[in-house]
Amino acid sequence: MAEQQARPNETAAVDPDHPLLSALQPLLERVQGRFVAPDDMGPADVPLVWDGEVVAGVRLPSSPPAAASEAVGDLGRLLEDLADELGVPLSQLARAEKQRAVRLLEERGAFTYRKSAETVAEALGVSRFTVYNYLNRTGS
Amino acid sequence: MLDDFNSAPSAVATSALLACCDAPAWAAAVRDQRPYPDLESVLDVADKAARELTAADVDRALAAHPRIGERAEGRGTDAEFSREEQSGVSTDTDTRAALHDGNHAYEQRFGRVFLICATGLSAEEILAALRERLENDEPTEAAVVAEELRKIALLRLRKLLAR
Repeated sequence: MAEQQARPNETAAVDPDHPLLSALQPLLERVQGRFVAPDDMGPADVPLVWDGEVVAGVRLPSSPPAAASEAVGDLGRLLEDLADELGVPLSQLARAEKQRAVRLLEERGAFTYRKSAETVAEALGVSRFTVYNYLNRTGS
Repeated sequence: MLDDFNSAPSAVATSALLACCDAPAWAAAVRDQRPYPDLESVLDVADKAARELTAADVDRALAAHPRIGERAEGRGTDAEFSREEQSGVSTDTDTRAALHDGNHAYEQRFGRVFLICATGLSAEEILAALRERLENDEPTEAAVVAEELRKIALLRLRKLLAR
């Protein structure tokens, strides 16, 4: 299989087809945990060792500091990407554009992250209520 | 900054308010006094309305709160608030066990979930408060619960509307 193109922002991703990981996947879904790449592991993550090598870490939902900062990191990237696309800091968008920004972020899964409403509101310079209000207007 | 809240459709305002406190009478009182000139005036109305909650209102609102030490699941606004509030509660095995036992003792004693405004509290502080409240008689404890609910509602409302 061809090597994935190296992406500077993502260290060696987790291989979901690894026998150990595919065996653990259903369990992880049940406990709402997730795999993290060895390079992204924090102190609270559980290392999964296979043949003497750490193939991934498990991040459990009950480890908030690591999980939260990771989530904010990924969400932060979504916000940065959107600002790059639009060519302006999100906080400087006009009202209608902020509404559109919320819609785009929702389409990109931004609101599945923890602390998402808070983080998005901060980036846009609006209250959380405003974010909810926009979300409710997108017809969901 | 309150423009959105002041002008939002009634249903949107109501559902956001119910995520702060799941008492329809309270949400309606806060919603129906819009528009507000500033955040303090919203909190003022919310505070007064929260002091008028009936026992039935409190019971219903309690049902929307997960047990202390149990993580709120899901994407809802209230779940997000709950996780933030409980983020200071450590989740190591001993603490979980102590909270589990404490919750159980409380539920046996009072027939409802132990509610505390957990923002800024450590697990030890929560456990100490729980043990102290177990000594209360029912009317005293009912008043404490209503007070905790009011504090939670106001903190959530401030977070919701502040920029």
